[in-house]
Amino acid sequence: MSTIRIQNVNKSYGPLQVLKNVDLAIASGEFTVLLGPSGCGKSTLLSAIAGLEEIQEGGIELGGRDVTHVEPAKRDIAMVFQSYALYPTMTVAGNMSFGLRVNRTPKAEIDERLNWAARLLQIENLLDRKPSQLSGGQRQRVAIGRALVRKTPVYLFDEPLSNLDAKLRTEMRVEIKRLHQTLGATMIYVTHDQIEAMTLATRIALMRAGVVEQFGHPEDLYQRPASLFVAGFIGSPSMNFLPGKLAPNGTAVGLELPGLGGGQQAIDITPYPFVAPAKTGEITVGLRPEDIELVSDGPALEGKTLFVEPMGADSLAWFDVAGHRVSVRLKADDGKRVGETARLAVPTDKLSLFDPSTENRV
Amino acid sequence: MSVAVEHVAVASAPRPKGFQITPGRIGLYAFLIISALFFLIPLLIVFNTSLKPMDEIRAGDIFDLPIDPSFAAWAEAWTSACTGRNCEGIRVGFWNSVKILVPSVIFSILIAAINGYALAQWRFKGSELILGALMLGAFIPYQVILYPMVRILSTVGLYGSLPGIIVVHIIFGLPVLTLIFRNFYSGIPIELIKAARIDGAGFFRIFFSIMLPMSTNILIVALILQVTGIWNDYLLGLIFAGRENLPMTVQLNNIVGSVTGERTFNVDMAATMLTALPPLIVYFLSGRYFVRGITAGAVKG
Repeated sequence: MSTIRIQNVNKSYGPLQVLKNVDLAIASGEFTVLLGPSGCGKSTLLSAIAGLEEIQEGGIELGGRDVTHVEPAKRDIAMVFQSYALYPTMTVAGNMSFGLRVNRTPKAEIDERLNWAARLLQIENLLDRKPSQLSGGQRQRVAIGRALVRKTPVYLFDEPLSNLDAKLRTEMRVEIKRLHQTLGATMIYVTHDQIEAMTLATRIALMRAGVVEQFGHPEDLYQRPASLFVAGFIGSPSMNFLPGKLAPNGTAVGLELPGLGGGQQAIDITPYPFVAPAKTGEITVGLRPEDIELVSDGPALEGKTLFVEPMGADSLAWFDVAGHRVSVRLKADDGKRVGETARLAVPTDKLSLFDPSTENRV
Repeated sequence: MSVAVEHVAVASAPRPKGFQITPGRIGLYAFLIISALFFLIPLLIVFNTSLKPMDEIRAGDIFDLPIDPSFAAWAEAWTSACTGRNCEGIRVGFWNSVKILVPSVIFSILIAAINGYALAQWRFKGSELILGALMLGAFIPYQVILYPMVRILSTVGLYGSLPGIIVVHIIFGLPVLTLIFRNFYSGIPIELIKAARIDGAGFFRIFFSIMLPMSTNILIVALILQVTGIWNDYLLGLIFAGRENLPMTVQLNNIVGSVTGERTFNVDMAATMLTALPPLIVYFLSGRYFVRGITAGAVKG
């Protein structure tokens, strides 16, 4: 049992409220990623779970036990820090076994766990070195190893890969995913990198300004973003936004868009799964670049081609649609064939609609 | 750590190309040599004179080298120089100074290191206030505190005793040392403490297992400051140590000051050399670490 329950947590630094009514329930064995821009409170939330930061309101339960006012050492957690935080005067073995030695684990067991973790992370040949003699990637492995030997049910990661170069980062990302599968432990992982979040998470909690905007599976966040912020934050290039107008027509729902050509006033989006009662009038329409198709006839947006960016596997074409910039992801070959103007078909089943005043999904 | 690396790099850097004698360089060297002589000449005169018998001192100039150098005056200063009616030499003062020095240095550095660590890494309520009070303490002149200190110590029965002078030295050392340690420990990332806390280590475990082993350079700086400071102290020893525990500096003054008949310059000079020797040795042995420690964050900021 290593569920995590975070209930209505509030925290302020003076007048600045950094966590606002954060409420998350994490199941045992889940890999939860706290994602968000700098200063959104994700690291503070992790520190609060670790017990390194006091919270002013709310409660935290680990494995069914209320730990709101429990010392970090007694929460049965292990943590990996962004700066690795290796003890510089100790060897790798000393670093990894420090926690066990503090807790007076028998020597034989320390050795056993040390060897197990070292083998798992492939750092057996580094055990006698000092942290200053290690490369960045090796230090990161040692920092993870120091957490692993504790064999805690919950592991916390605070932006562990952000100090590594791109290639190492990809390697370590795979490594961490493998560890999660091997250990089956509950993991919470803080990052501002959406690729890490999408690839690692079983669920992502996307935060903004101390508030959890959406907590769900990565595909949910990508395909059904709960707010304009989520829609804009996840995905690269970001989702295209166009101002539209909802016009109910009997039982059908029509969507008026700028630049709509082909003799059409509106397109029919009746099957759209509305989550909130659809209002008529102004609406913000979100379209993923890969969901838009270039067509020769039928109802479509008429755009002037701005430029095409070849990206190897695919191409990114940018169009001007009635003054709005719209990106479309195309196959590499199709990218070469884009003319001066193009007709952009709107996928009625894959769009997202947002209320422009509340910025929430409708 | 990075600073130390930098130093190595600087030291092993090749001499700049086109090294040549220019008027500027001559001036620079002249200035450096004159400055060095300014500080070295008194030491040389004292050393030179201590090696001469009285005849030579009477007959010659203070700059003349000894014709027949001998350490006889040193032996006399050590074993039989008189302070008033007491003729046991300066060795009594030497051992008194050692007895004062060792516990004072150990405890002042230990307490200051713990203080600095607490102030730098454990932001508790009122820590800023305590830091402010320490800053103030570091700048208050001794003279202001002397009389209240005498009253306090005599009230608790420590005035004029060995523990008394040790306590005084520890207290007087704390403000500056605490600031030095606080500055050093402020430069250590807070995540290290967080990691250790999650590993289950408490306040003192973190201090002794993690912080102290990282502090070699700064400990040497503190050691030098305290050893030389306490050894060279005259005022506090004279006032607080009591007749039985007068440190070497006070005894040196008594030897030089008590004249019966002819003034024995060579013995006085030898006694001076003996008194000055321990700090000199400390500097020679650890000067390198001192510079490194200072640049590692000791006196900056």
